[in-house]
Amino acid sequence: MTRGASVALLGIPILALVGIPLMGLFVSSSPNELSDAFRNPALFPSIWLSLWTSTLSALLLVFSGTPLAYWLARSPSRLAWVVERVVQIPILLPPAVIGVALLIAFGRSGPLGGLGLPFSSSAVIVAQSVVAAPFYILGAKAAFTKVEPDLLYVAQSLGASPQKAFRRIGLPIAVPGLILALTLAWSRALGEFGATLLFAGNLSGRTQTMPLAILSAFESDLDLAIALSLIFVCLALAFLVGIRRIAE
Amino acid sequence: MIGRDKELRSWQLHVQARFSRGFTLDLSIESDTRPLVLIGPNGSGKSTTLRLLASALNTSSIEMQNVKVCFQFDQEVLELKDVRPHARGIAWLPQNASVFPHLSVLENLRFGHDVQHQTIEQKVLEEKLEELGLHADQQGRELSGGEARKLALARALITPHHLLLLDEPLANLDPIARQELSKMIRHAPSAVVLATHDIRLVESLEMPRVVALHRGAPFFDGSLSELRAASIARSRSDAMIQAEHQRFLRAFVA
Repeated sequence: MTRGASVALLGIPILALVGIPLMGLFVSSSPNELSDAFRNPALFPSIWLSLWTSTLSALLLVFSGTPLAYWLARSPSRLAWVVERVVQIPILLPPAVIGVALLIAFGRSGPLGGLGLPFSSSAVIVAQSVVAAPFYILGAKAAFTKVEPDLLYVAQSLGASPQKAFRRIGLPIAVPGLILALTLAWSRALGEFGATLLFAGNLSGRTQTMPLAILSAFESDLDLAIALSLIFVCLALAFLVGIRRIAE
Repeated sequence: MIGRDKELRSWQLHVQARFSRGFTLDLSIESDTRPLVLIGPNGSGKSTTLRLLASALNTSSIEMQNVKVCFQFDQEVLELKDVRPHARGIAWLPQNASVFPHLSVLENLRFGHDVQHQTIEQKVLEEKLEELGLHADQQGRELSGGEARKLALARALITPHHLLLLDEPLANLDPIARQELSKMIRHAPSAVVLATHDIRLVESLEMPRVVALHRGAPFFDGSLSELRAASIARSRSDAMIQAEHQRFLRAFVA
């Protein structure tokens, strides 16, 4: 056995921990339960809600997070250091804490209470964006950090304005890293559960995303929860493959 | 680019700068368009001078800078202070390869023309490609170190510019690549400022003027043969202040 292969053996425990439960989902759901799940009235609204809210969250992150990440990658200032720490915080917090914090900020007596956000579909997007933001912004920052500043200076010395140098050199070089960061953030938004439950609630058709539909099913019918989980796994796989395709 | 259809007659550079790492630079150069070499050991300020000329420095590392660059076209003298860096016509090649990795060889070559909205004849590009021995569709990231240097230099040479700044253009190259790049530099149509610590390069390129830098200040300005003579004359002098320059000169000219 080569050394590489024997080192890879060390990976078996973690592979088993990830793989066996996923296989269990496939083994323990019967075709009957699956067809029951497909007839469940909560299924399609929750899939649809998950897809469009996570897409909007991802778009929000791309439009607002990309310039922020670029600034973080380029600025040596103290302020950038502080901002980066703030952006990192949601990774450290349990999503439930984020849900509570959002309720305080956007709740009726909070500073942003006038927006009437809690328990609406917009609240789902806000919760997903906050939870997924660090994954995108820190990943995008890493992608921009890899762009050599000298390449941008060279582009400028050949006559490209700073904006053009960014558009034609900096951005394209960072794109693979940006897509990776977006995949992570989008997946995180798609699977968001805790913050959404507390801040947006679990209202079928309005705030009940796939993960919340699975929670509701789990409380009444375990077989249905298994079948829904299986559908979610398949959707997530299709989603990952799809993003790869688009990226290539 | 400023003065696009005009011919550069001479240029001036005055730099005073202090950097946060404690380094200071104090330098004035006036030159016609003949090639000029900045020579000096590592850390003497050659690269930094070129970077200041090319506006290729992160300003946060500079505590104080007073940089004045003037171009003289026929009768008219132009101070570049108010000209945005990308419009100055100062092409710059840093030490490391500066080919754009995500663009093809052809896209790299015509980058300057594309961003300046200039057209370039297909024939000129094809000739250049043939000269370089590179395939038009090859990606920048696939090139070897020598190929990338050649392409970066060729790209700068065909891009409209007045002043070409080359930072150690031949370092770490094999003899054949050195020869090819030397030839390109010798035939450069514009004013060249070259920074190096390698005196053999000055000899082989037959550069007419050498400015030697030490710790951010010039201590010699003249031809290569004068540089040699100075190192001998100074070796007889006892002046303490020159002792260090002496050692440096001897090391280079020996």
